[in-house]
Amino acid sequence: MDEQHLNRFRDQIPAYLAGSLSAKEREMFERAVQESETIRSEVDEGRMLSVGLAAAEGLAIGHPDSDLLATYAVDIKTLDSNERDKIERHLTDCPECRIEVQTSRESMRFLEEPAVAGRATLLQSAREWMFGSTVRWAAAAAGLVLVLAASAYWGSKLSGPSAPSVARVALSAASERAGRQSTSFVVDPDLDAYELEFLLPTRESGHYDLILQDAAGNRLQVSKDQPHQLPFLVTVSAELLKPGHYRLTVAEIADTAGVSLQAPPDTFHVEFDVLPEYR
Amino acid sequence: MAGSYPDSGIVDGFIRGEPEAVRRTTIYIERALSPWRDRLGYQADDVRSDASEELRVALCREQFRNDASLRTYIARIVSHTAIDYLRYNRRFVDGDGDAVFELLPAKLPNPEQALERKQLHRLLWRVVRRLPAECIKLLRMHYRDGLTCGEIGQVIQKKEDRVRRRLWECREEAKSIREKLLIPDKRL
Repeated sequence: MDEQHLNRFRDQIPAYLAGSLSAKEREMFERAVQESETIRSEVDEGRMLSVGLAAAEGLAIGHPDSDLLATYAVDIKTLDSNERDKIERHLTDCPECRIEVQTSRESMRFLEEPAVAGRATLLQSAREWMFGSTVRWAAAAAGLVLVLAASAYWGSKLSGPSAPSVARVALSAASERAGRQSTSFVVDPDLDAYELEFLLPTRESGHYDLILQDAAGNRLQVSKDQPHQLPFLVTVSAELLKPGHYRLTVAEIADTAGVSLQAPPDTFHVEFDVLPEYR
Repeated sequence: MAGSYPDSGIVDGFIRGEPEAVRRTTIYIERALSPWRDRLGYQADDVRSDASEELRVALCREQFRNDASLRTYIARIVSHTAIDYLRYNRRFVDGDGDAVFELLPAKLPNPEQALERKQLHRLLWRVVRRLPAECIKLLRMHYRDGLTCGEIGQVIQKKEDRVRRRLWECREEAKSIREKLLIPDKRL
């Protein structure tokens, strides 16, 4: 097949893939595919590229471009006021993007701060240490040895009341897999309290009431007027969390300090199960 | 963290392949990735790899213009890469991606043939993510909008032969990216 014919068929590849060739054109094209290895491989390549392009296009439908959103979060001064307004309007109605903006800002903070912010998770703190200097490693090792030695010593000497034993439990909420992953943890009789950690697309300026209820709807704990946190942390006494199903409602306060919200207040629910200990 | 090593020193050093500059950018990327890790799970490795590649290309092609600090630039790259991955998961993994996977070719060349449909779909998406913006624009006009090389030439004011040549180069680049992504790790 000469170059001119090849080029004619090459130009028909997108139409062939889209199924928009006429019956006669299609028949001729398929004959060319059978005869020419070049056309055959270009059809395969075109098909794979079309799938990749369609996937990439599909991601931004209904949301700002990811780079624009990240730029808004970490380098807002480079956006013009139109872009900024458009994103801010979108954020009012899009909890998903609010989470992405908040996490992008956390990303920037992790780059700027030598020490980990107090509200970062323990896991993140540990990761930060991984990238610290060897001095930090040495200090950490020395600290660990001291703590272990002291706890061994005082553990054997003291019989008085000790600090409450608290475990942090990461709950999945409003994450990509919300509703798909069951959130549960096994009760630990040795604990005094649980520190429940969960990520919610709350507004940075927002204040929230946190209400913990059991399966029967009884209010077990109410924390009023909590500021936005990333992630949220709530400490619940172990006495309250017997095996069973629980719901944590995070309700935005509509009017904080006399400032009314422009959008309706958000309410989030985090459901989880406390499972009996293994016997 | 910022130390006394200025951004320009890191960028120049990175381009020259100096270990200290490469180490610094790697640390920056790791740090920027930290708050995303829990949500990304095992895909954090792919995000790191894609963000590193994007940064490498941007620095080598002098796309980083110092109008923001290097750390801000890296936070932006890591964040938009992570956002893309999370959006991909929501749309094609948690959502009804099955309909899309039906569009995948029934017969594929090796080694792509060995991949499951979901893995292949993710691979093809990652290939497009890594292509230069100019290639994505050309390929989109051709494969998605159905324009011929002559028609694309009219839009971008280039000769038909030049467009055909560039399209071929972009396809070759896509093929090469695909091969690179397939070699180190089949966990796509």
